[in-house]
Amino acid sequence: MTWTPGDLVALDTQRFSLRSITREDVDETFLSWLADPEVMVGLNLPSRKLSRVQAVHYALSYDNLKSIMLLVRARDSGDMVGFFTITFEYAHGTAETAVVIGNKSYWGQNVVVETRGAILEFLFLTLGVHKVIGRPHGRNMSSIFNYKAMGFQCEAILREQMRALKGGGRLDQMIFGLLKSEWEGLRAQKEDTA
Amino acid sequence: MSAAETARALLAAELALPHDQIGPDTALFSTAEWNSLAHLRIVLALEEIIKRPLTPTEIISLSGFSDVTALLEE
Repeated sequence: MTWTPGDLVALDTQRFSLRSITREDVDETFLSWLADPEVMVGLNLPSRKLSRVQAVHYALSYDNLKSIMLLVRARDSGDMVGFFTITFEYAHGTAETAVVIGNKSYWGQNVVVETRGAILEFLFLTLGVHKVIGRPHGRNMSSIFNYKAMGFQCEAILREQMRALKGGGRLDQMIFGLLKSEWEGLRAQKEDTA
Repeated sequence: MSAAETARALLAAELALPHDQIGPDTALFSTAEWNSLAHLRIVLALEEIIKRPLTPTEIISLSGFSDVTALLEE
């Protein structure tokens, strides 16, 4: 696979498709995720009732150049499931990912592990990124689970780094990182045991 | 009830598995039922029993039956 910055991204896993978000994807379902406190609390972001114009502006700010927003859909039903954001630091060969699973019927269905697997392959193999990081807040247990499950190392805990949008107080932030060499090792191990 | 028995009951409930399928091998990477949603439920149930939030280090290291048991032994 080849990819030039600016191109739309298209990735597939067994159950899901991941595509660079387009204007047409920003529908009522997408808007409802951004407005749902239960969905957005995972990112410690305020839920916001955006107009479609505002949401399109937000989604298209991911320009497939410095950053990408990938919409996840179920391949069998076409259901919108959630979205990933990827932000590049080209100068350092690093990328940061974050994910929202907006469709609650897919919670606990290993969507993130499966889809992030395809994203890691894209970042490490196609783009030659050296390292991928994620920065979940310290109470986002599902996110922490997913990073651990994929072999990311917790490299730092930034104590009381964030204001908690739910319940007041402050939240720790964790920095998870995965080097390309570590990912290759895990991949080889998986192939050996398959 | 011992810490190990409480851990077994907690994990059986949150993973929706029979008690006799919970043991030292029950872990985040080897038990299919231990997914991200189950992980969240396990942490919340554990915190309710020990009556305090887990520390960041405990959250990071919580990976299996023995970790749950150790926290319940406090």
